[in-house]
Amino acid sequence: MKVFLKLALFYGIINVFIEESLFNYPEYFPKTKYDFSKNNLSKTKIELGRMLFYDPILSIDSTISCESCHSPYNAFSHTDHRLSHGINDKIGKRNAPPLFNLAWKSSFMRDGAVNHLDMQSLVPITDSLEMGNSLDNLLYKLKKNQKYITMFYEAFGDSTINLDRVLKSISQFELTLISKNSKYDRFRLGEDHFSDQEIRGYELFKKNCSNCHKEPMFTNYKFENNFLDINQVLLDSGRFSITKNSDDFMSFEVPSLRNLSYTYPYMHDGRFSNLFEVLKHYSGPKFNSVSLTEKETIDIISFLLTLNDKEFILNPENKFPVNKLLK
Amino acid sequence: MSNKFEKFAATCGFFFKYFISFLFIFFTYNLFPQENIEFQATFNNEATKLNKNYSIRKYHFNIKKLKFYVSNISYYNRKNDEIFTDEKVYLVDLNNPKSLKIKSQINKKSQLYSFDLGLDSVINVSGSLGGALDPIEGMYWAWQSGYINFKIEWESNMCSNDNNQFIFHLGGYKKPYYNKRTVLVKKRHIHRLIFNLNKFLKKINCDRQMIMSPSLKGENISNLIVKSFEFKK
Repeated sequence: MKVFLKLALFYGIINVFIEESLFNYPEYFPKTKYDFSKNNLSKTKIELGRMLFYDPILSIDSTISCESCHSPYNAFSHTDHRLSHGINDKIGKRNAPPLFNLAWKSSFMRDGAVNHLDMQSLVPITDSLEMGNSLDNLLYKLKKNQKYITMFYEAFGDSTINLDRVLKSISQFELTLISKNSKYDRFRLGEDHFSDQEIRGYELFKKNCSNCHKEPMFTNYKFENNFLDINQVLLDSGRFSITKNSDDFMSFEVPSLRNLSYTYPYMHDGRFSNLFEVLKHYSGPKFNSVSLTEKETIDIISFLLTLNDKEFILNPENKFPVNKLLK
Repeated sequence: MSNKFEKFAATCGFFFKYFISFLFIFFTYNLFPQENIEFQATFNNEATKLNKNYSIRKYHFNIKKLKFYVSNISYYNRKNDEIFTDEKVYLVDLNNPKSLKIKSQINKKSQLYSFDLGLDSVINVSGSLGGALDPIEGMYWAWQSGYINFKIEWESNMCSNDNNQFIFHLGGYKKPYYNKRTVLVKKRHIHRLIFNLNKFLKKINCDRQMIMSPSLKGENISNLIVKSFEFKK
């Protein structure tokens, strides 16, 4: 019994050590929301998830992958595209959000329709405007593919390919997309300093924006109505479509402000193509408390640019798995 | 000599293996006794088959799909204290005869039991779970996270419009539409749980033929489903 307990303890310690080496973040980040005990991170599962993320095999006609709308160079969003793209040149209903720091989130999609990271990828896979696939067909395609048979074996110890394993592997890769190396982060760690303009912008940011875009994740993870008029073509009412609560009409998830340079256009429908347009909206008559001068606007933007994480977007571990996918 | 001995040893070994298996099954059964709970759907008192035409007065009905989750089978003593709960989740599907019989671990001291039609909120927010809860079973709303607790689809000429399809996908795990329902079976030795479609369809009207998200109408239909269950030995 004692031997068994010792072995269990040893296994637990090893697991914690492995997890820490695969998933680490600064001390000033809050506690994660994702329950790693139900999906222990491993190198082989992350690698499998990366492969699935970049492989168009997920779509019905093998033309669209997750990366199609979530490119690493765009902090896993789709820069310069207002709405997401799908199979047969179909256009989706929303602007593809960037993907990073997902372990801290407990709801997904702009309206919070999805309650767990593991279940999120079901939406694009089955949406007729995105990958348009059926789950049966997805598994059929994967089971026929020798590369995946081998990779599932390496990741799980046997070559069974099922949806649970597919979803959890994609989650594993997505969980490792951590943006934590911006100038702001270095500033927090005392490794860099802000210019006078950035400090002025930071102070203005704290006064006017930090209620919703709370540091250090730059979101409060809530749904807010920021007084956007409803798009008359898309008729997207946001969180209201999920809760049917009139208070939620035109409420959308507060996005993180990290990596803004790589993730334009902005808002749920990509209606603003640059940060000046965004700040003009917030300085408008609907926001009585915020009235920014041109200089203040530039100062705030200068601070926001310190949230860009170039190291994150260039991280080779996050990129297209050339050796495996093109072999 | 040694050949005979080897044969004898092999025969003994053979019987010993079976004897051990017998003992294992015997003790397992007595320590963890199991009983079958059988689900049935009936139309005009006969077991319903999918894709078969049934009539009630001048209307015809053809059931296309009938699937639901059964969870949290709980046993109680005379004082209504819960003494045992089967924590497994079962997916009952009329298209899969094997799924209609649930082998549930029972407690012999129990006097009555209950089961949940549907799944609790913890399961609904736990991410990917596999098995009966695998989204591949067609009982998961991807576009708005959550399981479908009860799915019934049928065709009927009961409405005076061109649409003869009825699709009810009932679910919801948080307020105001907490869709899971508990059904109480007052005697433990009753094992046939019958969903009486005559009772159910008699109360269906034509004001809404599609329910595919949590809603007030869905809640009312779920209440009707509970009332349409009958219990037989």
